[in-house]
Amino acid sequence: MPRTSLAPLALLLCLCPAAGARADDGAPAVDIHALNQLEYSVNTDEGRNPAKPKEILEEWLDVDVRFERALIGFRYEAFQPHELRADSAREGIVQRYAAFDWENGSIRVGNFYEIFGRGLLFRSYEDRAIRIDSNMEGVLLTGRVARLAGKAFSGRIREVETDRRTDVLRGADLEGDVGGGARVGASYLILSSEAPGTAGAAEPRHEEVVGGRASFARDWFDASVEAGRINRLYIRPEDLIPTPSRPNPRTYDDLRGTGFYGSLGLYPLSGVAVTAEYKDYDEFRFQPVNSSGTDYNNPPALTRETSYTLLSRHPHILSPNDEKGFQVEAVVTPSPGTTITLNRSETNEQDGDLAFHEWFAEVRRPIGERVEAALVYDFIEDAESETKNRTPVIEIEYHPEGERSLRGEYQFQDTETARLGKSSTHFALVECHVNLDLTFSVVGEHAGFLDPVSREGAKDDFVYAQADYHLTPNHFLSVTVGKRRAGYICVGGICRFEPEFEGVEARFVTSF
Amino acid sequence: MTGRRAIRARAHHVAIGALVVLLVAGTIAAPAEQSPEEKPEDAAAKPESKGLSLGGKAPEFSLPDLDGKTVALSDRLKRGPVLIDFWALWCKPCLKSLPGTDALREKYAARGLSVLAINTDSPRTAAKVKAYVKSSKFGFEVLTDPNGAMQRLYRFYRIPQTFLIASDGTIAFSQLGYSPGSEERLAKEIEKVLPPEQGSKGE
Repeated sequence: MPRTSLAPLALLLCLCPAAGARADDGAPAVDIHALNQLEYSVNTDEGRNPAKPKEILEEWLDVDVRFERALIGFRYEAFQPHELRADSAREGIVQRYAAFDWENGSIRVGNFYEIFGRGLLFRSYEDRAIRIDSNMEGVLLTGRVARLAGKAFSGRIREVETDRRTDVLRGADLEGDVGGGARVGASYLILSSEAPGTAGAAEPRHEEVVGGRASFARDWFDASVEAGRINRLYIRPEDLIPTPSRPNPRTYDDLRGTGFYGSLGLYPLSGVAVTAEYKDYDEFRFQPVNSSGTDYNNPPALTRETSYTLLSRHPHILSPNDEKGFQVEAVVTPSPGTTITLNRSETNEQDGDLAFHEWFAEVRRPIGERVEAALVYDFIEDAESETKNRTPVIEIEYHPEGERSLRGEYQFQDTETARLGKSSTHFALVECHVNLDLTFSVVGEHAGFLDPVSREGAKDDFVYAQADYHLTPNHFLSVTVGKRRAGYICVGGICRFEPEFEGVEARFVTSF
Repeated sequence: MTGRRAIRARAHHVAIGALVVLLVAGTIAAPAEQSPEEKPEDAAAKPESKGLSLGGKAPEFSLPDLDGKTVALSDRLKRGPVLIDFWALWCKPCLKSLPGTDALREKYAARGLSVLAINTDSPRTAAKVKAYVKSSKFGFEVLTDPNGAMQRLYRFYRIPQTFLIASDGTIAFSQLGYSPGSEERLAKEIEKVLPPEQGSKGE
């Protein structure tokens, strides 16, 4: 029998009336904060794809109880079906923590998230949109003395496939303000795992990561660099066996990785800003032993993030083991409300072959007092998927009196792929804000394909409507009805595939 | 198979139970609600909460600004009320709200209001944040929260999210989302937590 999870809910029910309570006499009181997110969908197209689950339920409940400088909390999660296995469910309390902070430091025991620098060496985080949760379970200490700030932890990450936490990762980070706008920092991490099932490791696996960073900021420019090295202090049995592609057995030297990230920002004139970034990652993936968990590091991908649906479907997927490249972006604001953005990025493999490149241009400006318009053009070429996308977008928003607004968006994408031939996609969105609490939107998409072999055309249409409503100040409900196209949801080079959906989907969020 | 079904059924029932419990719980905990008869304009007269409870203590935090210097909420509260605006570069409504937020800073800075615009972009886009702020010529303080610490601390789930903290450290108002004209709601709430303007008759 699974563990029951009614206990925390019962506790929550008991404590709710006290939420946010403060004693009237000014004495310290307990503050309780919670956030509950429930997503539930019913597919009505089972006949077309019997393998797809009819119902999907996802639930997150976070509860914090705070008393002065002390905090305890937990997270309850339910996934039906399981993220990886359609024939099972997962539910239970997945995070528990207690923390205490004082003027110059804090201690936290249980689950935590943390980042060193910009995440080149270590980042434990949650991004629910792409279903990433790389929380650690262990102990985290932070402290600050004069101009120095330090962090140290020891913890384990959850491996999604096995639902276990087998690796032990320990890390420390120190950053100092050296004056004159300059800061320097250094990090050290060591990973060890002696758990069974680690791909038949010949010896306990140890990986050591060391790195440093420096930044410098002035009013008109800033610069930062971050570099790291991974030493893999183990050799798998298969690494010792010669193969046709690798006639000589590997040595420890083969298993070292390096990573470098640098950025430069220039603000020479009022209303003008230029940013340049450079990356060089070679065998720099720092991942859990069973490789089913999220990586321990999260190096910047140098791809442009956008909220336009078609632009976020075919981006480059970051490969920290083999890529180097740059991204340059200029933003010009010639007058209030008018913005021109130009972006160019290119990523190559270590041997110089193109992996990905993109051109992006956006002009956004007001037209009179009540209309704002934006024009976007984007070209992406991704070598791995052998895809070229050309995407123009037009967006117009009209604001009549009060808090009402009407927004329209039209996106067109011309796609060329070596495997599937040519296709084109028309995407239109109309969104009506009645006020801050109520929004209606309708999205339509028409996709046309040309079969590269038969040269026959095919098409598919998708239409769905969505309503977002704040029932009360603490309750948010979003309902989607219709048919939505499959596609990737991508953030910063990490993507999650969202299958085609036809039916009803509801999202309910409560906070207090 | 029976075991799996039992697990499914339990997860299902627990989640539905949670939904019902939280509907009731949130309603009990909600300090102020808008009745259906109220027009949207009337909502400005009443404070509303979409995150932490109104009147509750705003959790203390310290975050780095764009130059790496640490700024603490408690330090800014010594000057007067603090308006906290959570935003990100990928969030179009956030970018539309920022000029209005900066206008509020200009209008009320002399009366003690501090504005902390907390950027929640991940480290992947951190390099572009200062460029955007500089090119837009915003005058408010921009703090960075690249790993979601503030989202967990203030328990909000979407942006733009705004909290107005009174000088005594309590949450006076919060607002989720942006629509042209919502600055007027915010201005009315700011007026309530500021000392009367010098020369006015205490309106």
